[in-house]
Amino acid sequence: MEILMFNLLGGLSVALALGAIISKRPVNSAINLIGTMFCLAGLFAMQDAHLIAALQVLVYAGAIMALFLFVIMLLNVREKVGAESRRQPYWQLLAVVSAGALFVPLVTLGGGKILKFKEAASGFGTTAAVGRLLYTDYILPFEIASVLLLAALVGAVILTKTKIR
Amino acid sequence: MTPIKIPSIALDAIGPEMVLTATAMVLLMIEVFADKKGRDHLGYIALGGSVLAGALAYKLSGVSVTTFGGLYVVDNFSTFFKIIFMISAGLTALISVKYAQDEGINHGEYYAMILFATVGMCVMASARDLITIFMGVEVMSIALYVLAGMTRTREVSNEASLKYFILGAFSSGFLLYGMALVYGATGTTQLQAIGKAAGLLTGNPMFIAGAVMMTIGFAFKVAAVPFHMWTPDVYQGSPAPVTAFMSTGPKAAAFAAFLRVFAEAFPAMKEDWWVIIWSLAVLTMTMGNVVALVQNDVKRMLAYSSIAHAGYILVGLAVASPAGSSGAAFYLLVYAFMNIGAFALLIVAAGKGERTTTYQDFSGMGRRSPLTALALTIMVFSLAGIPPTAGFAGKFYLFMSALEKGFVWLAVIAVINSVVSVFYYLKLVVYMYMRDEDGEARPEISVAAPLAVAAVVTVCAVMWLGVMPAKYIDFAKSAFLPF
Repeated sequence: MEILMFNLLGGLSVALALGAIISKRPVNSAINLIGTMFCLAGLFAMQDAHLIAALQVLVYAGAIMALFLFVIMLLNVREKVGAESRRQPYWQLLAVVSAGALFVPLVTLGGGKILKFKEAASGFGTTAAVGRLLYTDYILPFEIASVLLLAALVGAVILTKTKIR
Repeated sequence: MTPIKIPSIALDAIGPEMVLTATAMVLLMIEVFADKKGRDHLGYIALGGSVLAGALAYKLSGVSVTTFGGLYVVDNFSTFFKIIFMISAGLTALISVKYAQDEGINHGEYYAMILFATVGMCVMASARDLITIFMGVEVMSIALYVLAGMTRTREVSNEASLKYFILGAFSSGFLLYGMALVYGATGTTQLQAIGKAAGLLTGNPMFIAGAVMMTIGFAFKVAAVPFHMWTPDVYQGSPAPVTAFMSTGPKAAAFAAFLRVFAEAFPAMKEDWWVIIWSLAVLTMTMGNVVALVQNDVKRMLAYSSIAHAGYILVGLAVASPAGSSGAAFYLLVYAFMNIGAFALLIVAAGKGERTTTYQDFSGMGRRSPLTALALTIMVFSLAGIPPTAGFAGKFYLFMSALEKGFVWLAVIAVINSVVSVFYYLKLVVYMYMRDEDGEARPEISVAAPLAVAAVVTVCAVMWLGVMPAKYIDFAKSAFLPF
């Protein structure tokens, strides 16, 4: 059952990701990407990473992609935008070759040595466990994230405000 | 429910970071209440914050603590870099005071962004964990994207900000993907644990791909060729004090994280990796110097020269020895002084709106403003590495570390590059002293007090570090990383 679900979600997410880069219309690409995000969320949920799964849907599929769609619609982007890059087949070939050069060894592991990990403790990845980690072991990066958000917020305001006193 | 175990936290170890964050927030609040005249003094608050943070960082020299459950380390290496960051931030605040008034950007946000970026830089120098390093990189980068676009009415500034943002986000993607792969292969994000696991992972493609991607990410951040495409436009378009800041502090921070990651997490790959860094170093310095030769604009020339200097510093990385890492640290200290000094004088010469920055605009400067010309001459001598300036001491120590480890060719190429660089640096001096004015009307050169102070401080530092470098080199020597 688990294998079946994995193959289903995994296959679907790869297909949708391909759709996102192949489709000619920006809106279709964005919708495909949303589908990919949902499939990834499913994969995370299967790994018992409930919080990540929920955040994947809320933040990526929800907030960020909705923003993408807004931008595409507001700017009224049509097909011609990507046309220039499509006229350069050499770059496409290069991209495919380098993606393959990364992908093949990663999947086959190229005969290298690997580490065996012990199984994660039960409850790992649940909201409670992640919250606990954030407030204990990872308190410092968590606090730095607040500085990051403040800086980003202030920066966005100062760059976009129409008139500054 | 198991009880919550909080790891030991040494708050005094993050004193500098806390002071900087607090000062930034104070600046944001003052901005709300201050009137137009009061805002002219905001820069001095930022300067005070960086000086205080620098003093706290200096007090931690000799201390070696690992805190926050091993995520954060304060050692001489991080302390030395933090002092560089505070010098860079403080001097930038000082040279910004007049500039910000002229360009109408003297807001609390401007100085707060400089301090936020500095917090990110401190985190990068001290982090011993991939997640923490990445948070530091992002805090620094986000603040810099904003700073680059601060002069909102200038088109080049907008372009610089957008370009920097898009390419910076792209490079962060590389860095993060590399970190994810390394985590996937080793099962840990802590640098030393990765270093231990790496020994068991010979030939594991996931680990190698992760390390290579992280190298690409860091190479973007230090503007090493061939990942430098963003540098000239961003450095030229950004407000001059911001360019001075970006080319010193953040670059030093990227090198600090780069060095620490490779010294602590990837020592097992030392034998293979020096080839990559060696080629990066040679490409970066050669390309930076050759393109700088044909520039017409002094600000753009300084941008390319900054690429070339990143190449010299990469020599310290390629050598991968304690001497190499402390040589790079000392050079970055020297570079902070001389580059910010050069930019301070560029601001003086460029006048309002940065209109006059070509070589021609500097002609006859020796007569129009002898002291400015003299100070700028000392700065470019130092950038070129001519004794008795600090630039010479820095280069000497850095290239010696290459010779010690048998990297003769690398040292030879670096010296040849330094000789090439003399040409375009001295071109500026030739224009200042040996060309008559071409009769075009240029704004009167007037040196505002904070700029004069910054120029005097940097000139003194460059001469002092050049004549009496021993004490500071000893400090840098204690700030090595165990390769």
